[in-house]
Amino acid sequence: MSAPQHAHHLFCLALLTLCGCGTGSLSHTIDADKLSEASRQGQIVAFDAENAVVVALNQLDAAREALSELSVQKRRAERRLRRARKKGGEREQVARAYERYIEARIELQQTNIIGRKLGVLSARANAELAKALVLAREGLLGSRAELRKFRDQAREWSRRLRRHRKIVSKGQARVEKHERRYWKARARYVSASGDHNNEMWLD
Amino acid sequence: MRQPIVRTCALALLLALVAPGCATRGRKILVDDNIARLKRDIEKVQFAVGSTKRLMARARGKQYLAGLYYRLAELYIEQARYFYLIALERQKLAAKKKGVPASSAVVSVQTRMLKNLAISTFKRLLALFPDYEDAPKVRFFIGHELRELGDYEKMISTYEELIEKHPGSNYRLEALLVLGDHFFDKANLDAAERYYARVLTGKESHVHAMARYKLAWCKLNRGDCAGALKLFEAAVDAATRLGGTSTDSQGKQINLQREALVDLVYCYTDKRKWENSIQYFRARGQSKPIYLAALRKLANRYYIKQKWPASALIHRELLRLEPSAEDAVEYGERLYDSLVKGKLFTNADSDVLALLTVVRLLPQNLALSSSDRKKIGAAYEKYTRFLATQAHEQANRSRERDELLRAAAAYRAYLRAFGDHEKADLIRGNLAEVNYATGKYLDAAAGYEAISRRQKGKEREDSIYTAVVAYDKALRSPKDLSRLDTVLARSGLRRAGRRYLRLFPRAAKGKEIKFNIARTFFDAGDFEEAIPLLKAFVEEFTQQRDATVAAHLVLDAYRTMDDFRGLIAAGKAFGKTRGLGDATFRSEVAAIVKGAENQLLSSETIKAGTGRGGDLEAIARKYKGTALGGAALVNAFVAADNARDAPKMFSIGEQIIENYPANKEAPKILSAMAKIAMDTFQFERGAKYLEQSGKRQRGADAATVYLAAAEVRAGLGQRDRARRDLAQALAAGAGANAADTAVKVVELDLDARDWNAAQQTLGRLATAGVSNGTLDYFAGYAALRSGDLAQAASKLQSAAASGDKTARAAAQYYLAEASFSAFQQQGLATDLAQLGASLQRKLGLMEQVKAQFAKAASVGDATWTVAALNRLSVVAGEGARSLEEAQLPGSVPPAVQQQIRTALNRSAGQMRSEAKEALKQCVKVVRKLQVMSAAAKACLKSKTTDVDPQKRKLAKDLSSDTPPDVADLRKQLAKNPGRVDLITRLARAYLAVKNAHAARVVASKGLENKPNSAKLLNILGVASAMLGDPQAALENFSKALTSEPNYDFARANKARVLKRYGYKKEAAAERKRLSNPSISRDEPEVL
Repeated sequence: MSAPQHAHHLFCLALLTLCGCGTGSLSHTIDADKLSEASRQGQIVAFDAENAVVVALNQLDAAREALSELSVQKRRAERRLRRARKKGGEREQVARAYERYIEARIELQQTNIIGRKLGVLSARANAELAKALVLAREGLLGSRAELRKFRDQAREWSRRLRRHRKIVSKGQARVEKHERRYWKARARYVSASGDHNNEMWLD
Repeated sequence: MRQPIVRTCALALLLALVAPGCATRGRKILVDDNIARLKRDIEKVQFAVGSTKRLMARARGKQYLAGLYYRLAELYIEQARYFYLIALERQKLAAKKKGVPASSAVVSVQTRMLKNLAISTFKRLLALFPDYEDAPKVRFFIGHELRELGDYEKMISTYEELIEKHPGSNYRLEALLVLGDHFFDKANLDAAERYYARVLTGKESHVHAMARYKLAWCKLNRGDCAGALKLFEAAVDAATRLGGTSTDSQGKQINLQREALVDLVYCYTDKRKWENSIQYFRARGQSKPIYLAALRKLANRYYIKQKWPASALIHRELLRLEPSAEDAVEYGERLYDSLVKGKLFTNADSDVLALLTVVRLLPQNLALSSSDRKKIGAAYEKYTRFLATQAHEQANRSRERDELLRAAAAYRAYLRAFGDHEKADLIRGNLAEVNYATGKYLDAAAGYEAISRRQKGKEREDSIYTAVVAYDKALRSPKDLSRLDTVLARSGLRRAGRRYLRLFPRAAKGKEIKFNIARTFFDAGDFEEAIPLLKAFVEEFTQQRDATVAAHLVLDAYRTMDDFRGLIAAGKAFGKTRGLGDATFRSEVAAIVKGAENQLLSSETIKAGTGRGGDLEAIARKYKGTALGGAALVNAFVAADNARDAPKMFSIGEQIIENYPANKEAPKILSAMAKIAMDTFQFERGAKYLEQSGKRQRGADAATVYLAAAEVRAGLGQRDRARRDLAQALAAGAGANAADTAVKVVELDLDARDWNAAQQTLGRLATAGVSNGTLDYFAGYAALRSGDLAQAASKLQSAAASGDKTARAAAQYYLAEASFSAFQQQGLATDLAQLGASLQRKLGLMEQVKAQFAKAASVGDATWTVAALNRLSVVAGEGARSLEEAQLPGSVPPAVQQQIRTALNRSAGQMRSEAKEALKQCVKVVRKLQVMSAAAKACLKSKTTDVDPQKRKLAKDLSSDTPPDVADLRKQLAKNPGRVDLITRLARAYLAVKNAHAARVVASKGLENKPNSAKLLNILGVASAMLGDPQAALENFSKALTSEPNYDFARANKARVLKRYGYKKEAAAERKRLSNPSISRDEPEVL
């Protein structure tokens, strides 16, 4: 399997993690009206649980921002490759290796974003569970089976998140591999040409 | 179509030509018209005079008659004025016709006559009405008309009269002023001064300013500049206070403030310092025109006096005030002239700006032709360039920062105006130099960068390099830079640096430039960019000093990003790079890498602990075989332990043991794994981990672990392994605390009747100094069974003297058994002579045995009491039998034989009674304590038994098998070790494969979670029964029924045990209580 294909597979795998069991949303939620029947203390607990969702959303935003920064680097890598093609030889190989390295990082970041989305859903599931626990404690939820649904839901999203981390770990390894290849290609080019400037300092 | 168009055009042209002719022509205002108008005015006034006279005629004796006189005089004066104006117009007309300038001297007879009429009318008024209220005014007008008529003598006398008669009137001051002016005009300065001075003695009024002004002129004419200056200043102040304009003695309106300020210039230049002139005149010039007028005169004066600094100052100010385009050229020339002649270059910035005002206003100067304007512009380019460069040179000499800053400002001003001039680049270079010298590095850098684009060769290289240096210097003083400046400086440095590298790739300065470029990214926090550049720098300049700095920056960058993996990789790579840094550097890097490894572990462990990821196992995989890999696994193990994730703990723990056998944490990990294995009911696995842990430890730690392993092995009935573990514990120094475990281990050997093994273990225990009553008893028992009676006696006696009740009872029992053997072996002599003695010995031994069994029975241990009582019965029976079966010698006479036999039978009968009594006593105890043993069973049947009480009756089909299909059960238990239902299922599974030891251990541990679980108690009872402990079995069945009276399995088991040990009634009673009497014995938990 070639490198891009491999990356594509990783990404697809990550997507499957997100959409693994049906839709990428929560099946069980607590209605806001119902929560309003809970005590003030209980509501505070529930709102506190929502904080984790906000944190997860912030992390998702940060991941998206990082991806957009990488797209700038991708354009630069393409520019470098176009320029290097005119020279050919080792220099082109350095530029190509650099482009692949950046592509690997982009793939990883895309996978990360999926992970962050899973993180948001997991955080939401936990928040819903916290609300359900509050309602259960105050006798507003209904049967114990109802609470179990929320527990199962939180557990399921947590499991998917854990599974996804392994995919991220693979992506990380791939990035490291391409980075090493880039540096090796550059070292070859430098030793052959004595040119330290191009493909590094003169972007 | 063409004809109509031509016709239309022709018509339009015709209209255009005719239209102006049709317009109304503007009427020309002729002088004749003025004269006619004046004549009409005279007629009007004449009519008024007539009317006034008619009124006067009718108003004789009336109060308002004085007013009519006054009005009549005024009308005469007005009429005189009209005549005068007519004469003036005619004179102008005549002069115009002749083509000569009009004379100011006008002769008009009518005017003179009318003025005289007016004077006489005023005088008649004063004569008729001496108390007329406006008398001062009337007299003032008389004086005024006399003055106009040139009759100065009368004028003077009239004003003197006014002054004398009306001291409080304002007309008095006016009169004094007029008289002062009169004498001033006559050059009679003394007289003039006197009159002016008389004005000033009065209360401040509207004429005071004028009086001071006039007086100042008197002083000036006398050459008293100081006095004149004061009076001018006072006049300006007074005029400022009064505001508006003043009227002089001839009735002319003048701006006294302006006149005084302008007139004082002359004296100011002599008497005051020029440096303060701007402030002085700015403070007094109430409006821009006044201020400008004064400055203009002042500039002129200084220029004439060749006072160059003053001249430059004033001309600079004039140019600053935006003069007219025409004036600006003159002022500019004079300013430049003054500067050059005075060599005044210190204010070059202001001067250049001032001169550029001229350039700016040039397009508005329509008086000049285009070529002249160009010439002037070119001249001013030179002027400003000259001034700026002169200022720069002067600043270079003095090295004064202020001067340098002014030179920079002058350059900037020049460049704004002449940025496209051919010399502009030169000036830009100079400006960059000045900016650099004054610490304005950002501006300097931009300047150098800009000029470098038009340069070539070495000059260009120097300029670009200097730009880079300047950007770098700018960045080194971040406090002086705004955020925008910082961004600009960084991007500028990168831009200039890259340009340098592109143009001069082989230059030696490339190293410094590369470092600085990389540094800008680092300082900006853009580590993604900085890291590869710094790495490349290290690669290229490995052996140079800066390479280590760059390497440290790389590591810092990774650390700031919390990218510990990157830091470790980079640090290790640097450590391996040949020629990079010295030993100190390498040790620093090694320490950093070590710290990073710890931090990586910490962060991942924290994440793992909080459930936010943290893939410690991934780290372990990546760094397999290294200390970091080992530490990662250890932390992963700890995290799994905290999460109570048993399968993960085992998996990670096994990896640690396999890959890092020498890890110092391995023993603890193994102990933890053992504990978790025990907690999850994997006892054999736990024992294995304990043994592995023990192997890696020494001393007390090893002893403790081995003892625990031995305990577990013993519990599982694995006597060989248990014995081995105990031996290891003893070898490691286990002391007295090994005794309890040792009891369990030896007990297994005894149950297996393996006397050698038992004695071997007991020998080790004795060597290690481990002893207690039970062990002594076991040693005695083993020795007894292996035929070493002396050893047996010794050990049993020790045990019999111990504090352990059971051991004491048992030891006493077997001491009795030894005596009983001796008793049995003691035969009776066939020789009559010795028969008595042998009989006596046998009976003595019997008494000894009985006493010993009685002692054993009296210790109070139910099992051993019952056994001892049963044995007492046996001893008595045996004694009786011995007596009854005693062979008497044949030599004894029959009668004697009969007597002896009778005596022996009597004694034997007594003994039989004793035997029965002992059995009765035994039954009584058995019933009372419900003892479950072979002896008890025999007693209940009123029989004796030879069964060894120590020998347990183990189930025949006991196994040490592991039940199949319990893997899932174990997994569930690993997650929920407290679930009694799962524990029960596991224990039952062990029973099913006849592994009673394991079943007992599982059930016992399960009861720790739920002590009254009927099912577990029942299983424990079944296991105990299988392991030859019916007493414990009965106890557990009873407890189970107490907890759950309707639990049929326990009841059936209890009934079965009771029946097995002779309690038939009790067993029947229990069976009756069964709700389901047909319980299958196929169930594992049913006996």
